[in-house]
Order: sequence, then structure tokens, then C-alpha cells
Amino acid sequence: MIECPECGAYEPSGALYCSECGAFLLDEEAGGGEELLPFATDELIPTQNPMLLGQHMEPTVGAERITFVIPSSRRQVAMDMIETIYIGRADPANNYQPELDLSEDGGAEHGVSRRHAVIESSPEGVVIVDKGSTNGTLLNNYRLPPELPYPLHNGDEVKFGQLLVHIFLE
Amino acid sequence: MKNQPDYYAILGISPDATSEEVREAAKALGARFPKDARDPSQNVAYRQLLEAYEVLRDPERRAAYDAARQARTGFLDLTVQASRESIGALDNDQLLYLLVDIRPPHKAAERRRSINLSLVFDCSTSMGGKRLERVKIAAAQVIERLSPEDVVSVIGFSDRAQTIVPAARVNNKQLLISRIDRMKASGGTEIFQGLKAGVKEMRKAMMSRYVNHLVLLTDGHTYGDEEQCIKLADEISKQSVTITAFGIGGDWNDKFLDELVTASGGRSIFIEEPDQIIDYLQERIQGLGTVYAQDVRLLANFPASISCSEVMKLSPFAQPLDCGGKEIALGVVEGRAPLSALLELKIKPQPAGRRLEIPLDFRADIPVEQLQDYPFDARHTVKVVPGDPDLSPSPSIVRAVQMLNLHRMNERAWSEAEAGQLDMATKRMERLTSRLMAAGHTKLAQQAMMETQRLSRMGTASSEGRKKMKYGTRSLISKTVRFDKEDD
Repeated sequence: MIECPECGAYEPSGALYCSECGAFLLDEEAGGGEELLPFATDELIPTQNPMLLGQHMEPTVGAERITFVIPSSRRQVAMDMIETIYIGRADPANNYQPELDLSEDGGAEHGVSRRHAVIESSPEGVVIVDKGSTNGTLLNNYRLPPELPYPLHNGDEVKFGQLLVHIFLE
Repeated sequence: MKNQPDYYAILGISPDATSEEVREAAKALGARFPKDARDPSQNVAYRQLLEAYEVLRDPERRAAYDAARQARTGFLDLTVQASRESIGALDNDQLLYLLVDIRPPHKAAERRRSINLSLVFDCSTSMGGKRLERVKIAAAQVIERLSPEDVVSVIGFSDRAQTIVPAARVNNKQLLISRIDRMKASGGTEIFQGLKAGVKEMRKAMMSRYVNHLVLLTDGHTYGDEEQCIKLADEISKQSVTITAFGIGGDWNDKFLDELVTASGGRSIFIEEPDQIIDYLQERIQGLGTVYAQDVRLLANFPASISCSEVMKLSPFAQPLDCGGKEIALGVVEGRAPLSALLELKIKPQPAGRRLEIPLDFRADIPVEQLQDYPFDARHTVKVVPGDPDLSPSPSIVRAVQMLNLHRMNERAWSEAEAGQLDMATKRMERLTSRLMAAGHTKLAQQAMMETQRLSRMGTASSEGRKKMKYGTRSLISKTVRFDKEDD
């Protein structure tokens, strides 16, 4: 048996890598061993990025109105903050009409998917979720991983594909 | 002659290595021997290294050696590298890694063989739009490149199958392409319907001179007919049909597609973006004409004290193989790249002084030579010595094992997540992230990071994320271990 110098797991003799933590088990530079970095969240994703719901930054709670300002088309859309606001492009053939329809703002040219994202009002606050859109959603220039809720705040900038939208919550 | 050591395996290089590579391998290996161990009269391993280097560095001696080696190996060239030559007489199980390379003999004529290809496309509602459009383009490009000797059939399936192009020689390409162009998306996904129709067409031209290949492309789950599909796949793999299964998007069953291709030693491929369909399909079809040996398999007739715990195909693509049965299906040997696989063997405790012989018996069909069940083999012997001997594995084995280990960490994290062991899964994913970062695979590390967050915050795993990680680690394997062919 070999004891892994990094995590203390036991591996059978003849093992080259720790099956638990992935550490290289031979001491010299016998081949693939590289310098190992400690695991550090901060190095991978800069701290100014928005946090997932429940992490550090509190989302806006109790917003009643939401206003979208779309600079490129100079359009402004205000609506009540309902439970789920769909954002995308209308698809009449499939009877799909998102609450915020970006078709007339040049959505298609700007890479907005039909079902691009949703803004949800949860007891924990207002969050935005990318719905696996083709060209992605950027919240304050941070690319959101699909299907994860990120807290939304008054004055946030969101890019659906290439289309910039300012969001105001009251 | 039979017992002459394989110099290429000793140096850990391929038989077509350049003289430069020979020198570098010998130098690197030589440096691993401490100064006082460099006495050829005392140290067998060092003597063999010198011998290998002396023969291979000299073009004349190398040519003579190659010829003799060729006569010995016959129709397929087999090299085996081991992670260790000796094991200790210990009370616990020990691991031994074997890296197996199989390639056509040096002078095998690079004859192109005709292909019997069946393309089975999912045309369910969800395939509508961009996906089906790209499939059509991809299929048209494949047909453009086929030769008039090849046979092709195209099936579109939803909850029933439609034969778009019945099996026939590729004479009128435009006609075939215009038929494919008329495919429409509607209905559910019943993969068995598609497979059955594809196999039926394929059987019309199932002759040994053809390379038989079935491509399945789907974006959804099939319900209730998985077993039928696997059974059919097993059946046709016995008739030397290989299968490639493409899954598009996040909503298909990766375990099922893996199982489907296992029996034939085929490949499952994850397609994130519809645009990738074209390249991937093209890439898969390209090698087919150069298939030299097919239905290559390793007979798992190891002695009772040895068991095979994992087998990973490394080249020409990465795919985990099933080592549970009597035979391990390795797939085909193409002309362009070796068929390589990494074996992890568990050895039960052995008494000191014993020599343990590990038989590696292979079988293959070589249609161009009209050979069926052609046997070829290698024996790897490990000595059992007192204590726990040091390891000095070659860099290529170390790299392969590292990749296998990363792949395994990822698989474990997901199965823990599925079993609800979120803490363990998250921790393992974090460790995987740092290993990927350390190894310089930033993109995959970011993905792992994201999945770690998702696991710890949401307590769930995304099906697409799982596929990205799974196929990401696989493509890492083929990139790192062999060539730099595949992109991210």
C-alpha cells in the first residue's frame, strides 16, 4: 500500500496516481508529474463576478416593477414583477410569446435565442437564469452558466447574445 | 527469435519513430538510472536499454531487426509497454498498467476498402430547425466523398422509421442528396425502430470486403426499447459492424449510447453545437476506408491471480471499454493511427521468486488477407521480488494513467452526485478542478469549477454539464496521449 502524500488515501502498490485526489505518487519527475496548485476558487473566477444565489451577495427582494431599457433600439419596457418573465423572441408558429420579446429590437441579428433567459421572482429575491441560449447571457459582463439563478440588482447590465439591456428594479 | 526483447517497447516508442525520437527516448530513460546502476554487466534493465539503443540507432541494424520483428509479428504489429517489470512480495493487491499498441505491419499495402455505411438519423420534433439542417449538410458532404464502390443507406426515424435511401451503390449522388434534403422533423424518439431499419439495409450488402459501419445520431431519450437496441447492437457487432453514436445537445442518455457502441469497440460522441455535426461526422467516416483489421479483441484469459479492473481505449479515440466479459472488444485497426489501449491489472499477493506470466492473446479479422480470428499475442513477465521495488514507468504510460485517473475521478464524482452523496461529489469535483488547472487544461477546469458550484449550491447536476465533463475528459485523453488532432 502507498499512502498519498497529499490526501492520505491508501492506494495499492503500483498505483501511479491517487484515485482520490489525483496526486502523482512517484517522487521524482518520472514523467507526467506537474507542479500542483492548491485549489483556490478566487484564482479561477475573479471576485467581482456575480455570485450564485445564496452566495455572499443578496439579491433584490420585494421588487414590484421591472423596467428594461434597450439602448440600441431606444425602447423602454416596464412591467409588473411577476413570478416568471420570459425573455427571447416570439415564435408564433409554436404559440410562444415571451413577456419581453426582443424581436423588434433586432434580437435575431444580435443572437437572441427564442427561449433565451428568464427573470424570476423568488422569495429569496429577483434572479436571472440563462435557459441554455445559443449565444449566452452576460450579467455585468460575466457569462452566466446556463440554468443557474444569479441575483439581479437595480441598474444591472445584461447582454442577451450581443443585445445590451439595462435593468431597473423598483 | 521468439524471445528476443522488443526494443521499441523497451524504449517506449513506436516502430515508426524517427532516429531523433530513438535518441531522445534512450537518453531520457538512461538518465533515470542512478550513476552506480549503470553497469551493463550487473543491471539487466540497463543492458537492455543500451542494446535497444545500439540496434535502433544504426539504420542497417535497425532494418535487419525490423525485418526479423516483422516475420515474428506477422500481420499485425503489437507492442506492449508495462508500468513495471517486477512486483513486490506483498500482502496486498498490486497494480500493473499495460499500454498496448496495435498497428498494421510496416509494409501493409495502404489499400482503400469499400464502405457499407448506414446513416440512421433521429428526425423527432426536437431535431427540427438547425439540428436537422446541419445533419442534412453533413450527410450530403459524406455522400459527396464516398466512392462509387461504396454502399450507403439513410434512415430517418421518430417513433417509426423511414428508409430515405435504400442500400445501394453511390451512383447518383445528387439524387441521394435531394432525398435526404426532404427529411422532416416530427414525432417522438424510438431508437430501436431506426436501428432495425438501418441494420436491415446494411445486411443487403454485408460482404466481407466491405467495412461495415452504422452511424446513429440522436438528440433524445428512447423509452422502453433500450434492451432491444443493445441486443441488436451486440448481434451486428458479431458480423463486424462497428457503431458510432452521436448525441446532440444535453437531453440524451450517454450511458445508453456508450453501452450501444461497446460491443463493437465503437465510439460515442457528444455534439454540443449543431455546427459540429458536420466536422465530426466527416472525421469519423474518413478513417473507415483505411480499416485494416476489424473485430480486434483481447481474450481475457488471465490467470486467476490477475484481474483486469479497467480498460481504456486511447487511440484513435478515447472510449472506455468493457472488461467484464470473456473478451474485450477493441474495435478496428485503421491505417492512419495505432489502436492503443491502457489496461489496469490487479495482481493478488505473490510469493517472492516467482515469475508471473501475463498472457495477452488477441484475435482479429483481416479481410484484405482473408484472415478470420487471426491470433497474435504477447507475453509480459513480471518478477516477484522481496520488498516493494521502485517503479520507473515510461512517460507515455504515466501520461496515459494520469488521463485514466482524471477520467475516473470525474466518473466517480457524477455517480456520487447521482447517489445523493453531494458532499463527496463536490469535494471530488473540486479536486478534479485543481488537477485539471495544474495540468493546464483551463477550459475543462472552468467547466469542472462550474459544475462544482452547481453541485454545492443547487444540489443537482445538469445533464448537459455531465456530458461536457465526460466527453471533455475523453477528448483530453486522445489529445494528451497521442495526437493533437481533436480540438476542444
